[in-house]
Amino acid sequence: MQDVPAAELLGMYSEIVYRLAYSRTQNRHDAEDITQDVFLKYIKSAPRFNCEEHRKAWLLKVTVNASKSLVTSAWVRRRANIDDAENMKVDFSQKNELYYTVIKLPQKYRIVVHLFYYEQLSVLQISELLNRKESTIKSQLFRARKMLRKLLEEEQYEL
Amino acid sequence: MNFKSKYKEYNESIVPDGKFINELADKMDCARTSQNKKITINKYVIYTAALFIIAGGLFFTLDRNNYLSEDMPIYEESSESNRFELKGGNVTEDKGITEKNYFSDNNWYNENTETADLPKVLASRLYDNTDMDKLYVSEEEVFDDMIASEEEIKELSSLVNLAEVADESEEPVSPVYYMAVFKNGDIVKFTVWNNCFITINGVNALYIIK
Repeated sequence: MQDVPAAELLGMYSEIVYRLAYSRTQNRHDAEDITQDVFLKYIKSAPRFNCEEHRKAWLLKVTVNASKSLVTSAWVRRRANIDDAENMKVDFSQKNELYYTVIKLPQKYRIVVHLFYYEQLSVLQISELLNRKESTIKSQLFRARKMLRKLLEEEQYEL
Repeated sequence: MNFKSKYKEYNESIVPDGKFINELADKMDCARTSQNKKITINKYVIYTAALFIIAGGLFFTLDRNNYLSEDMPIYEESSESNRFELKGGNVTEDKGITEKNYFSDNNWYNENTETADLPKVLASRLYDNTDMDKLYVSEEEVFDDMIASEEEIKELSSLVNLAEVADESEEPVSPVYYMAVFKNGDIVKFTVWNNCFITINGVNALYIIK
Protein backbone atom coordinates (compact mmCIF):
# COMPACT_ATOMS: atom_id res chain seq x y z
CA MET A 1 0.00 0.00 0.00
CA GLN A 2 1.20 3.47 -0.86
CA ASP A 3 2.03 5.75 2.04
CA VAL A 4 -0.25 8.73 2.58
CA PRO A 5 0.76 12.30 3.50
CA ALA A 6 0.76 13.15 7.19
CA ALA A 7 -2.23 15.51 7.04
CA GLU A 8 -4.32 12.93 5.19
CA LEU A 9 -3.37 10.18 7.61
CA LEU A 10 -4.28 12.36 10.56
CA GLY A 11 -7.58 13.23 8.89
CA MET A 12 -8.36 9.53 8.61
CA TYR A 13 -7.18 8.23 11.95
CA SER A 14 -6.36 10.97 14.47
CA GLU A 15 -9.84 10.90 16.02
CA ILE A 16 -9.88 7.10 16.31
CA VAL A 17 -6.47 7.08 18.01
CA TYR A 18 -7.28 10.07 20.20
CA ARG A 19 -10.63 8.64 21.38
CA LEU A 20 -9.10 5.28 22.21
CA ALA A 21 -6.32 6.98 24.17
CA TYR A 22 -8.87 9.19 25.91
CA SER A 23 -11.04 6.20 26.82
CA ARG A 24 -8.07 4.77 28.65
CA THR A 25 -6.57 7.87 30.24
CA GLN A 26 -9.64 10.11 30.60
CA ASN A 27 -7.24 13.00 30.30
CA ARG A 28 -6.89 15.34 27.33
CA HIS A 29 -3.16 16.02 27.77
CA ASP A 30 -2.27 12.34 28.06
CA ALA A 31 -4.48 11.49 25.08
CA GLU A 32 -2.60 14.11 23.02
CA ASP A 33 0.76 12.71 24.18
CA ILE A 34 -0.28 9.21 23.17
CA THR A 35 -1.65 10.37 19.80
CA GLN A 36 1.63 12.12 19.07
CA ASP A 37 3.70 9.08 20.10
CA VAL A 38 1.61 6.76 17.93
CA PHE A 39 1.87 8.85 14.77
CA LEU A 40 5.58 9.59 15.21
CA LYS A 41 6.17 5.88 15.74
CA TYR A 42 4.24 5.29 12.53
CA ILE A 43 6.69 7.53 10.65
CA LYS A 44 9.74 6.06 12.37
CA SER A 45 8.90 2.42 11.85
CA ALA A 46 7.33 2.94 8.39
CA PRO A 47 5.26 -0.26 8.53
CA ARG A 48 3.88 -1.87 5.37
CA PHE A 49 0.18 -2.68 5.16
CA ASN A 50 -1.91 -4.95 2.96
CA CYS A 51 -5.08 -2.93 3.31
CA GLU A 52 -6.69 -0.05 5.18
CA GLU A 53 -8.04 -2.40 7.86
CA HIS A 54 -4.51 -3.59 8.48
CA ARG A 55 -3.31 -0.01 8.94
CA LYS A 56 -6.16 0.72 11.35
CA ALA A 57 -5.42 -2.44 13.36
CA TRP A 58 -1.75 -1.42 13.61
CA LEU A 59 -2.67 2.05 14.86
CA LEU A 60 -5.14 0.64 17.41
CA LYS A 61 -2.56 -1.84 18.69
CA VAL A 62 0.16 0.78 19.06
CA THR A 63 -2.32 3.11 20.79
CA VAL A 64 -3.27 0.39 23.27
CA ASN A 65 0.41 -0.27 24.04
CA ALA A 66 1.27 3.41 24.33
CA SER A 67 -1.71 4.00 26.64
CA LYS A 68 -0.73 1.02 28.74
CA SER A 69 2.82 2.32 29.17
CA LEU A 70 1.59 5.77 30.10
CA VAL A 71 -1.07 4.56 32.49
CA THR A 72 1.30 2.23 34.33
CA SER A 73 3.97 4.92 34.61
CA ALA A 74 4.37 5.75 38.27
CA TRP A 75 4.66 9.46 37.67
CA VAL A 76 1.46 9.64 35.62
CA ARG A 77 -0.45 7.64 38.18
CA ARG A 78 0.79 9.88 40.96
CA ARG A 79 -0.22 13.10 39.24
CA ALA A 80 -3.44 11.66 37.77
CA ASN A 81 -5.53 12.66 40.76
CA ILE A 82 -4.44 16.28 40.59
CA ASP A 83 -4.80 16.51 36.81
CA ASP A 84 -8.21 14.90 36.69
CA ALA A 85 -9.65 17.59 38.85
CA GLU A 86 -8.24 20.33 36.63
CA ASN A 87 -9.10 18.49 33.47
CA MET A 88 -12.71 18.08 34.46
CA LYS A 89 -13.13 21.83 34.69
CA VAL A 90 -11.87 22.25 31.13
CA ASP A 91 -13.96 19.53 29.56
CA PHE A 92 -17.08 19.82 31.63
CA SER A 93 -19.35 21.17 28.92
CA GLN A 94 -18.55 18.34 26.52
CA LYS A 95 -19.27 15.51 28.90
CA ASN A 96 -22.63 13.95 29.23
CA GLU A 97 -23.69 11.72 32.08
CA LEU A 98 -21.94 8.76 30.44
CA TYR A 99 -18.56 10.31 31.19
CA TYR A 100 -19.15 10.02 34.88
CA THR A 101 -20.29 6.45 34.50
CA VAL A 102 -17.51 5.27 32.19
CA ILE A 103 -14.79 6.88 34.31
CA LYS A 104 -15.94 4.76 37.24
CA LEU A 105 -15.07 1.58 35.37
CA PRO A 106 -11.59 0.09 35.97
CA GLN A 107 -9.14 1.03 33.20
CA LYS A 108 -8.91 -2.47 31.76
CA TYR A 109 -12.70 -2.55 31.32
CA ARG A 110 -12.89 0.94 29.80
CA ILE A 111 -10.73 -0.02 26.86
CA VAL A 112 -12.69 -3.23 26.23
CA VAL A 113 -15.98 -1.30 26.36
CA HIS A 114 -14.60 1.29 23.95
CA LEU A 115 -13.37 -1.27 21.43
CA PHE A 116 -16.60 -3.25 21.62
CA TYR A 117 -19.17 -0.49 21.64
CA TYR A 118 -17.43 2.26 19.70
CA GLU A 119 -14.99 0.53 17.36
CA GLN A 120 -17.45 -2.36 17.09
CA LEU A 121 -14.71 -4.97 17.14
CA SER A 122 -15.56 -8.58 17.83
CA VAL A 123 -14.42 -10.36 20.99
CA LEU A 124 -11.83 -12.24 18.92
CA GLN A 125 -10.44 -9.02 17.41
CA ILE A 126 -10.25 -7.38 20.84
CA SER A 127 -8.47 -10.41 22.28
CA GLU A 128 -5.88 -10.26 19.49
CA LEU A 129 -5.44 -6.54 19.94
CA LEU A 130 -5.01 -6.68 23.71
CA ASN A 131 -3.10 -9.98 23.80
CA ARG A 132 -5.68 -11.45 26.13
CA LYS A 133 -7.62 -14.68 25.87
CA GLU A 134 -11.08 -14.57 24.28
CA SER A 135 -12.56 -15.90 27.50
CA THR A 136 -10.87 -13.05 29.43
CA ILE A 137 -12.41 -10.45 27.10
CA LYS A 138 -15.81 -12.11 27.42
CA SER A 139 -15.67 -12.07 31.19
CA GLN A 140 -14.35 -8.50 31.25
CA LEU A 141 -17.21 -7.40 28.99
CA PHE A 142 -19.65 -9.27 31.19
CA ARG A 143 -18.30 -7.60 34.33
CA ALA A 144 -18.17 -4.18 32.66
CA ARG A 145 -21.80 -4.56 31.52
CA LYS A 146 -22.82 -5.61 34.99
CA MET A 147 -21.12 -2.56 36.50
CA LEU A 148 -22.56 -0.26 33.84
CA ARG A 149 -26.02 -1.70 34.38
CA LYS A 150 -25.75 -0.95 38.07
CA LEU A 151 -24.34 2.51 37.51
CA LEU A 152 -26.87 3.38 34.83
CA GLU A 153 -29.84 1.89 36.65
CA GLU A 154 -31.60 5.19 37.02
CA GLU A 155 -31.08 6.12 33.37
CA GLN A 156 -32.81 2.97 32.05
CA TYR A 157 -30.14 2.25 29.45
CA GLU A 158 -30.40 -0.79 27.24
CA LEU A 159 -27.03 -2.59 27.15
CA MET B 1 -32.37 4.32 25.70
CA ASN B 2 -29.59 2.50 23.84
CA PHE B 3 -26.19 2.52 25.51
CA LYS B 4 -24.34 1.88 22.25
CA SER B 5 -25.77 4.93 20.46
CA LYS B 6 -25.38 7.10 23.55
CA TYR B 7 -21.77 5.96 23.96
CA LYS B 8 -21.12 6.70 20.30
CA GLU B 9 -22.64 10.14 20.68
CA TYR B 10 -20.47 10.75 23.73
CA ASN B 11 -17.35 9.69 21.84
CA GLU B 12 -18.15 11.87 18.83
CA SER B 13 -17.94 14.84 21.19
CA ILE B 14 -14.33 13.95 22.04
CA VAL B 15 -12.22 15.50 19.32
CA PRO B 16 -8.55 16.44 19.36
CA ASP B 17 -7.69 20.11 19.26
CA GLY B 18 -7.23 21.41 15.69
CA LYS B 19 -4.07 23.30 16.58
CA PHE B 20 -2.57 20.14 18.09
CA ILE B 21 -3.35 18.16 14.91
CA ASN B 22 -1.77 20.84 12.67
CA GLU B 23 1.37 20.87 14.81
CA LEU B 24 1.48 17.09 14.77
CA ALA B 25 1.21 17.06 10.97
CA ASP B 26 4.23 19.40 10.79
CA LYS B 27 6.19 17.20 13.21
CA MET B 28 5.35 14.11 11.16
CA ASP B 29 6.51 15.80 7.95
CA CYS B 30 9.80 16.79 9.63
CA ALA B 31 10.24 13.27 11.02
CA ARG B 32 9.53 11.74 7.62
CA THR B 33 12.10 14.01 5.91
CA SER B 34 14.81 13.17 8.44
CA GLN B 35 13.83 9.50 8.26
CA ASN B 36 14.28 9.51 4.49
CA LYS B 37 17.68 11.19 4.88
CA LYS B 38 18.69 8.56 7.42
CA ILE B 39 17.63 5.77 5.04
CA THR B 40 19.74 7.29 2.24
CA ILE B 41 22.77 7.65 4.55
CA ASN B 42 22.25 4.09 5.83
CA LYS B 43 22.20 2.81 2.25
CA TYR B 44 25.60 4.40 1.60
CA VAL B 45 26.96 3.00 4.86
CA ILE B 46 25.69 -0.48 3.97
CA TYR B 47 27.18 -0.31 0.46
CA THR B 48 30.54 0.86 1.83
CA ALA B 49 30.52 -1.80 4.55
CA ALA B 50 29.65 -4.47 1.97
CA LEU B 51 32.58 -3.37 -0.20
CA PHE B 52 34.95 -3.57 2.77
CA ILE B 53 33.65 -7.03 3.69
CA ILE B 54 34.14 -8.31 0.14
CA ALA B 55 37.62 -6.78 -0.03
CA GLY B 56 38.48 -8.22 3.40
CA GLY B 57 37.18 -11.64 2.38
CA LEU B 58 39.27 -11.62 -0.77
CA PHE B 59 42.36 -10.57 1.15
CA PHE B 60 41.79 -13.27 3.79
CA THR B 61 41.29 -15.98 1.16
CA LEU B 62 44.47 -15.02 -0.65
CA ASP B 63 46.43 -14.76 2.58
CA ARG B 64 45.11 -18.13 3.83
CA ASN B 65 46.10 -19.85 0.61
CA ASN B 66 49.65 -18.54 1.07
CA TYR B 67 49.67 -19.65 4.70
CA LEU B 68 48.42 -23.18 3.96
CA SER B 69 51.08 -23.69 1.36
CA GLU B 70 53.77 -23.33 4.07
CA ASP B 71 54.90 -26.33 6.20
CA MET B 72 52.68 -26.55 9.29
CA PRO B 73 53.73 -28.02 12.67
CA ILE B 74 51.55 -30.91 13.84
CA TYR B 75 50.04 -31.03 17.36
CA GLU B 76 48.39 -33.94 19.01
CA GLU B 77 44.87 -32.89 20.08
CA SER B 78 44.80 -34.62 23.46
CA SER B 79 48.26 -33.74 24.66
CA GLU B 80 49.06 -33.46 28.38
CA SER B 81 49.72 -29.75 28.11
CA ASN B 82 46.23 -29.16 26.69
CA ARG B 83 44.61 -31.11 29.48
CA PHE B 84 46.59 -29.14 32.02
CA GLU B 85 45.38 -25.85 30.54
CA LEU B 86 41.79 -27.00 30.74
CA LYS B 87 42.14 -27.77 34.42
CA GLY B 88 43.91 -24.54 35.27
CA GLY B 89 43.12 -20.91 34.51
CA ASN B 90 40.79 -18.48 36.20
CA VAL B 91 37.50 -20.00 35.14
CA THR B 92 35.03 -19.54 37.98
CA GLU B 93 32.53 -22.18 38.78
CA ASP B 94 29.07 -21.37 37.41
CA LYS B 95 26.79 -21.97 40.33
CA GLY B 96 23.71 -21.16 38.29
CA ILE B 97 20.59 -19.48 39.48
CA THR B 98 19.78 -20.70 42.93
CA GLU B 99 16.26 -21.28 44.15
CA LYS B 100 17.01 -18.94 47.03
CA ASN B 101 17.61 -16.05 44.66
CA TYR B 102 14.50 -16.49 42.64
CA PHE B 103 11.79 -17.65 44.98
CA SER B 104 12.50 -15.95 48.25
CA ASP B 105 10.84 -12.65 49.02
CA ASN B 106 12.73 -11.69 52.13
CA ASN B 107 16.42 -11.87 51.30
CA TRP B 108 16.55 -8.57 49.48
CA TYR B 109 17.08 -6.54 52.66
CA ASN B 110 19.16 -6.87 55.78
CA GLU B 111 17.40 -8.89 58.46
CA ASN B 112 17.94 -6.11 61.01
CA THR B 113 16.01 -3.57 58.91
CA GLU B 114 12.86 -2.23 60.54
CA THR B 115 9.61 -2.80 58.64
CA ALA B 116 9.08 0.96 58.48
CA ASP B 117 12.40 1.42 56.68
CA LEU B 118 11.82 -1.20 53.99
CA PRO B 119 10.41 1.25 51.40
CA LYS B 120 13.55 3.36 51.75
CA VAL B 121 15.75 0.28 51.26
CA LEU B 122 13.69 -0.70 48.22
CA ALA B 123 13.79 2.86 46.86
CA SER B 124 17.56 3.08 47.18
CA ARG B 125 18.00 -0.29 45.48
CA LEU B 126 15.66 0.77 42.66
CA TYR B 127 17.60 4.02 42.25
CA ASP B 128 21.01 2.37 42.13
CA ASN B 129 21.93 1.60 38.50
CA THR B 130 24.65 -0.79 39.56
CA ASP B 131 22.11 -2.85 41.54
CA MET B 132 18.89 -2.49 39.54
CA ASP B 133 18.43 -4.67 36.50
CA LYS B 134 14.82 -4.68 35.27
CA LEU B 135 11.51 -3.46 36.59
CA TYR B 136 8.50 -5.25 35.15
CA VAL B 137 5.16 -3.42 35.27
CA SER B 138 1.70 -4.86 34.82
CA GLU B 139 -1.91 -4.13 35.57
CA GLU B 140 -2.43 -7.82 36.22
CA GLU B 141 -0.46 -10.10 38.49
CA VAL B 142 1.09 -11.80 35.49
CA PHE B 143 4.10 -9.99 34.02
CA ASP B 144 4.76 -9.87 30.31
CA ASP B 145 7.60 -8.02 28.59
CA MET B 146 6.57 -4.54 29.72
CA ILE B 147 9.62 -3.02 31.41
CA ALA B 148 9.81 0.40 33.02
CA SER B 149 12.28 2.86 31.52
CA GLU B 150 15.19 4.17 33.56
CA GLU B 151 13.37 7.47 33.99
CA GLU B 152 10.25 5.72 35.24
CA ILE B 153 12.30 3.67 37.69
CA LYS B 154 13.84 6.86 39.10
CA GLU B 155 10.39 8.45 39.46
CA LEU B 156 8.98 5.36 41.13
CA SER B 157 12.00 5.19 43.40
CA SER B 158 11.42 8.76 44.60
CA LEU B 159 7.77 7.90 45.31
CA VAL B 160 8.59 4.68 47.16
CA ASN B 161 11.13 6.62 49.20
CA LEU B 162 8.26 8.75 50.56
CA ALA B 163 6.26 5.74 51.74
CA GLU B 164 5.50 5.35 55.42
CA VAL B 165 3.58 2.74 57.35
CA ALA B 166 -0.10 3.61 56.89
CA ASP B 167 -2.41 4.25 59.83
CA GLU B 168 -5.45 4.24 57.59
CA SER B 169 -6.53 1.92 54.81
CA GLU B 170 -8.89 2.04 51.89
CA GLU B 171 -10.44 -0.63 49.75
CA PRO B 172 -7.50 -1.85 47.60
CA VAL B 173 -8.41 -0.95 44.03
CA SER B 174 -6.58 -0.01 40.80
CA PRO B 175 -3.46 -2.06 41.49
CA VAL B 176 -0.29 -1.71 39.46
CA TYR B 177 2.01 -4.64 39.98
CA TYR B 178 5.78 -4.30 39.88
CA MET B 179 8.50 -6.91 39.86
CA ALA B 180 12.00 -5.58 40.43
CA VAL B 181 14.82 -7.86 39.33
CA PHE B 182 18.21 -6.93 40.73
CA LYS B 183 21.59 -7.77 39.26
CA ASN B 184 22.47 -10.08 42.15
CA GLY B 185 19.36 -12.16 41.42
CA ASP B 186 17.10 -10.69 44.12
CA ILE B 187 13.49 -10.27 43.10
CA VAL B 188 11.06 -7.98 44.88
CA LYS B 189 7.39 -7.92 43.98
CA PHE B 190 5.35 -4.99 45.16
CA THR B 191 2.03 -3.36 44.32
CA VAL B 192 0.85 0.23 44.24
CA TRP B 193 -2.86 0.56 45.12
CA ASN B 194 -5.19 3.53 44.63
CA ASN B 195 -2.14 5.48 43.36
CA CYS B 196 -0.85 5.92 46.91
CA PHE B 197 -0.71 2.68 48.91
CA ILE B 198 2.14 0.19 48.61
CA THR B 199 2.33 -3.42 49.66
CA ILE B 200 5.49 -5.49 49.34
CA ASN B 201 5.24 -9.24 48.91
CA GLY B 202 6.49 -11.04 51.98
CA VAL B 203 6.16 -7.94 54.17
CA ASN B 204 3.14 -7.74 56.42
CA ALA B 205 2.59 -3.98 56.24
CA LEU B 206 0.68 -1.39 54.29
CA TYR B 207 2.58 1.74 53.31
CA ILE B 208 1.24 5.08 52.18
CA ILE B 209 3.04 7.51 49.88
CA LYS B 210 2.92 10.87 51.66
